[in-house]
Parts: sequence; C-alpha cells; structure tokens
Amino acid sequence: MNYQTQLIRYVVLATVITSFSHFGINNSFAAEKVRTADLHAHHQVKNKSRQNYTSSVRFYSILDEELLDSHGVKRSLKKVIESGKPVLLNFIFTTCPSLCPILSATFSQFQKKIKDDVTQPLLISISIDPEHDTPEKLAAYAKKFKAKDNWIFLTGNVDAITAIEKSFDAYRGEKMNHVPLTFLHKPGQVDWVRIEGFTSAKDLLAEYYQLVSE
Amino acid sequence: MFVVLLVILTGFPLLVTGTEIVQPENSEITLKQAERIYRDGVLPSGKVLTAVAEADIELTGLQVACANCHRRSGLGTNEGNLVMPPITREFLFQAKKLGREHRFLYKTEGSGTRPAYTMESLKKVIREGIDSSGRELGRLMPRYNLTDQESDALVAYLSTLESSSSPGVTEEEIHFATIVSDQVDQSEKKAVLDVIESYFKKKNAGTRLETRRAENAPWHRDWKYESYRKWKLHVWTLTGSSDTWEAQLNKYYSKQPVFAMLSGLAYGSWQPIHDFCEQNHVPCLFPNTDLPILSESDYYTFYFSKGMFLEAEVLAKYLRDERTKVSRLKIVQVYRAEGKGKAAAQQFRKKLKLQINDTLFDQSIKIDEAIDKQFWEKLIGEHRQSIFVLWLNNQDLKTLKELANEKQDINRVFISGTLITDDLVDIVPDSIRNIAEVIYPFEQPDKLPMLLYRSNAWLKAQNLAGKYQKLQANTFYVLRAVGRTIMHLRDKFSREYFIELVEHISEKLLVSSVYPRLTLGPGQRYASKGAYILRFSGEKKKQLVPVSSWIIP
Repeated sequence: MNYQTQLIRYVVLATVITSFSHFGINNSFAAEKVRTADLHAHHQVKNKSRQNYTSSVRFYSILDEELLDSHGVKRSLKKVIESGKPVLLNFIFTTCPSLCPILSATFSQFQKKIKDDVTQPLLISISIDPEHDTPEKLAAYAKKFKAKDNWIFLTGNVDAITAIEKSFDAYRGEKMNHVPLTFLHKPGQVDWVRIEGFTSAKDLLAEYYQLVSE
Repeated sequence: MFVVLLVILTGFPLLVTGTEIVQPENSEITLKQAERIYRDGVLPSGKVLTAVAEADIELTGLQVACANCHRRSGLGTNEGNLVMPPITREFLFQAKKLGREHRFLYKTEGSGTRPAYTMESLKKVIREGIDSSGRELGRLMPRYNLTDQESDALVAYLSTLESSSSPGVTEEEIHFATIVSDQVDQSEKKAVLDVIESYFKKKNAGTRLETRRAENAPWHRDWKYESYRKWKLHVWTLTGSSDTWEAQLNKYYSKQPVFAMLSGLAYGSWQPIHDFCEQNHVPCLFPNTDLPILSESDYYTFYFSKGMFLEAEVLAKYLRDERTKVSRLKIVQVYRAEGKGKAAAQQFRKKLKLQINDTLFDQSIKIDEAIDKQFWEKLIGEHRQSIFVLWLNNQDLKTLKELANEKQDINRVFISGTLITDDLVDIVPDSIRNIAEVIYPFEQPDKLPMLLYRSNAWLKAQNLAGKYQKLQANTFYVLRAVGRTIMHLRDKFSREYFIELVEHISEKLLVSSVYPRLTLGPGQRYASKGAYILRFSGEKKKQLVPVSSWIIP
C-alpha cells in the first residue's frame, strides 16, 4: 500500500474515532440533551429507579353519570369505562399549575412508549374544574399534550363531577387540594389498581403490562 | 512523523466542531427574554423550553415553565401535599435553616436546610437537580435543558425577583383605592361606599390591638402579625367622559400609589380602568360592572363574571341546543343604541352561529327615543312568530304593559336578568309572563336568602342593609376576600403574590355574593361562569323556576 493511501486511511480513521468520542460524551446523558460542563452529571440523572408511589387494589362502583367529552359529545361514564378495553384514569383541570402537567405528560409519554403488541388501553382524564373546563378548553389541553384518539377528556356539571370524584375516593374539597392519583382497570373485573403519587412513564407502563398480563 | 500526524489529525475534528463547545456570545439575552423563559417556557432562540421530570417524563414549553409551579411572583404555591417553595432573590441567596421549630412554614417554604445559592450552584440545581448542599431534589422538579448562556440569563432574572416590591405599603399602612364615576346614581354609590368604609373602620379598630400583640407575640406566632397594617381607603372619583379617565387615574396614582383596587362602581365599559390596572400592575378586585373586559391573557383584574357578554353567550348556547326541536330560528333583538343592551346584542349575534334558514333582526332604539304601544305593535306585526330577545332595562320593559290585553303574536320572549334590577314579577306584565324566560346569571331567587345569610347578617349589624342587595353583597364579598388574603401575605407585599392568593382563596370563602358559586384558579379571572334560564310559574305566574340546569357556555 503506498504512502498516500495509508495517509488517507489514517485521516479518515482519526476523524471517525474522534468524532464518535466527541458526540459520545453528549449521548451518554440519560436525559438526552443536558448540556452542562459537569461531565459526571449523567450518573446522577440515571439513578432514578426509586419508587415514589404506592399502589393498592380497591373496589369502586362506577356511577352512570352523563358527561361531555372534548368534542362536546355526551358520554356515559359507565359505558366509556365498560367499553371492553383496559382503562387508565386520572383527574385533572386545565389551569392546574404543576400536578396535572406532570400527570398528563406521563399519559403522553405512556402513549408514545407503549408496545404495539399489547392490548391498547383507553385513557380517561376527568376535569375537576368543570365550570371552567368546557369541551373547548379540554380540546386545547388535549392538543397541548398531543393526546391520541384513545385518550378521552371528560367534563360535566359540578354535582356529577363531585359524585364521581367521591366514588373514586379522590374528592378533597377545593381543587387545589387534589393529590396525584392514577387508576387502572382491566375489563370484566370489579377491582381497580389505585396509584398514589407520581410515576415515571416506565413505572406506569410496567404497572400496565402487569395488569393486562395477569 | 506518523505520531505527529496522528496527533494533528485527532485534533482536527475538535477544531472543526470547536464552535459547539465554546459558545460565542453574539447576542446578549435581555431580562425580558429571560422572563419569557421563566413565565412562558420559550427560549430566546424562539424554541420551546424542554426538561425532564419524574426520571423520564419529557415536558416542553408551557407545561414546564417555572412560573407554573413557582408562580409569577416567585413565591411558590402548594397543591395537595406538594410544596413548590419560593425562589425569589431573598429566599435563594440566603441560607435556609428551617428546623422543626419552623415546621408551620413547611407548607409555604418547604422543609430542610441548605446553604445560600450562588449563581453557579443555582445553574446546577436547575439543570441537574442537585441543590446547594449537594442533595438531589425530588423527582417532581424538572431538570432543564439549557445552554450556559440561557441558564446565566435565567439565574440573573431570578436575582431580580423581589418578594416584596409593591408600592402602596409602608411599615404602618396599606393603601387601597375604590373607583366611583360621577355618573352613577347617588344612592347606589352610597350603598357601595358605606359597606367599604364600614369594613375598613372595623378592620382598623381590630388591628389596633393586633399591632400591640404583634410587638409582644410569642416567637412561634410572630409570623402571623407581619402583615398587619392600617388600611387606608382612597375613593377615586372619575368625572366626565371615559376617554379622560386614564389620565385622571394616573394623576390619583402618582399622588398616592395604592397596593390594590377594590370593588368600585362605574357605568359603561370598564376598559379605561382595566387598562390602567394592567399597565401599572395594580390588582383590581371584582368591580361592580356588567361590561367587563374579555381577555384570555390579561392579569390584574378579577371580575365576578363576564356580565352582559355571559348572558348573550348563555342564550346563544341555549337556543343552539334547541335546534333539534325547531327547523329554523327567527329572532328579533331589541336594545338601546348605546350601552349594556347593545354590547349584549353584538355578542349574541357573534355567538349564535346562524344557519341557512335562520334570521336575526336587530332592532336598535336611539337613546332618547320613547318606546310606546305603536312601536311594539309595529315590531311584532313585522316579525310574527319570532323569538323576541329584549336587552332592556326596567323602564323600557315596563312599556310592554301597553300591550296588556291583546293576544300577541309572539313566540317567546327572553329578558335580561342583569338589566332588570327591580322585581321581575312587577316589571314583566301578566300577559307576557306566560311566554317569558329570563336569562339569570345569579342564584335562583328563592334560594337567595339562604345564600346571603352571612353577608346580610353583617350588613344588618352595621345598619347598612338596604335595597341594593346585589351591589352590597358583591362589595362585602370583595372585602372578605381581601381581608383573608392580606393575612396570608405575611410580609411579602407582592402584588403578584396577592393575585395568586386571591386565585387560591376563592373556593375557601363561605360567601359567594349572589352567585351560586364563585371559583377561580391559576390564570382564571371570571369567577362565576354560567346562568340559569328561568320562567314564571304558579297560578298567577309569580314564581320563578329554572327551565334548565346551570348553563355554562
């Protein structure tokens, strides 16, 4: 091999190797694009497997209340829940400052990451500020979280919503007193999984996979 | 030779891509741009802010703006069992030493101890979640993706957030204003001002002892008295045409700035006062107006409801929903050419969404034109079997009595519950009550006495109860709300914090004036959101009952 070919090969090799190592430093951050001078930060970000939530099994009777979805269509809560699909349910309101953005972004992430070969669930978010959260406001909120078609948003009259909250033991008086709750249900069963606290998307998916495989 | 070449060549890509590591400062990030990161989740480049919370939940833009949790004031909030602590300059750049003896502060300031932040350690906590004591923050706090330049700017912005920076407050006094325009009826004005003045007098008599108690308070209670001040009321009277009001307000304000504006009474649009409050960052609480300003994003003024606009929207929704029963809508609106009726009529036209066979006829009446029997006969004759929507006040509506004994060719009549301030049964003539429905954005008349029980008790005790029930109940509500909110300010006299507390407190109050419910939330500015449609029932059609449930348009 002549000198020139060797030279070219070494140039290419060197460029390739050094560019991998340069980009590699950035890619090893678990929270992808954290750009920081501290090159060890990714270790701290990665160690996040502590479970911060509690899950339990409860029995809830589903009320047959008539609600409105984000398209203004009347929906019966009972019929929606008993549609034959597994259900994930939470309570939100569109002007909620901190709790609901996290819960809803978790649902978004759940939709994005769920495996194709499992039973696809129905996601339900019920507004606990029904006077403000009209169907239009819910539609805007759904868009903000890139909700797919199998994620339903519901509102209704104040008494119906309060009764529904109470039926899930989720009623805490004023809306700002609410706590993070997610409910999972498998069709045909009476019991629900009640998750209190925040989960990562990974944890929520794990709970879901466990539920549908039981 | 090869070694040298290799060294040079390994260095080559680093030189080429070197601009990624060293960021040239080709443009300064202004404080205004940093404020946008904080409030709106928008980076100076125009891209959305991104972050990760709960290990793997990706959040962007408005979902993750700092102001969502830490609020515009920077003084944080609590939601359920979560505490989002204050992050103003005072809190960040001082050591936090909350031991168990301060546990009553955990709810607002979070627990724990940590040394004061520096600019550098603040950047670290925002991007990596490691606080100034080296501990990891909980997973709820997002870890933000920010460049050095962006995080420098954000941290610089945080160092400008003052806990307590509002004018109108001294060590001893807190100044409030209320607005009255010179056009308003004198007895209405008296009804409103009497309530405010009486409340202020009582409040100051009460705080006289509180100030002394504050000086000698036990150590664990002294935080409670930090916000006690004498309340000073300034009545700002606005004269002449509303074009001149903004100048008058500026003049009053420069003479004596106020912390907030309470209640008030002016006819016509509240626009000049609303604009003044937005520009000068003055919280303006629940004025007595039926023509509020409709805005999705304005910040400083709270209204009881959307007033005449709400009535128009509720009626539009009610009639739209009735389409299943009728093939077409034939509607005639009647209103005076200026004022509340006209505003409602315009909003109604906008919100009705006319379909192909519908007709909506606007009958405007000049301000000084008399309404008589001929007028009604002609109008009804030209629009047989129409739905009449009468955006008319007591005086104008009474003229319907002229038609008393004739069988009229009217399909239905809608009347405004806001514009009729006297007893509906007296104003609406017998023959019309059969077919009349009232748009009623208040609690039903027969439930009202129970609802007003508390405020009426207070008014009676002050000898103030009179015929202006709604005005006085409204004014009393505002004072109650402000009284409770001020107490929670402690010594953080920030107007934005005050607004945030008002948003929070609305559901806690045991009074709601004449409305079934007054509720607010972060960013919400209209506390009552719907209306009933009532009809006259009973033998002599003297009772008002709802035809619909509470309608929210």
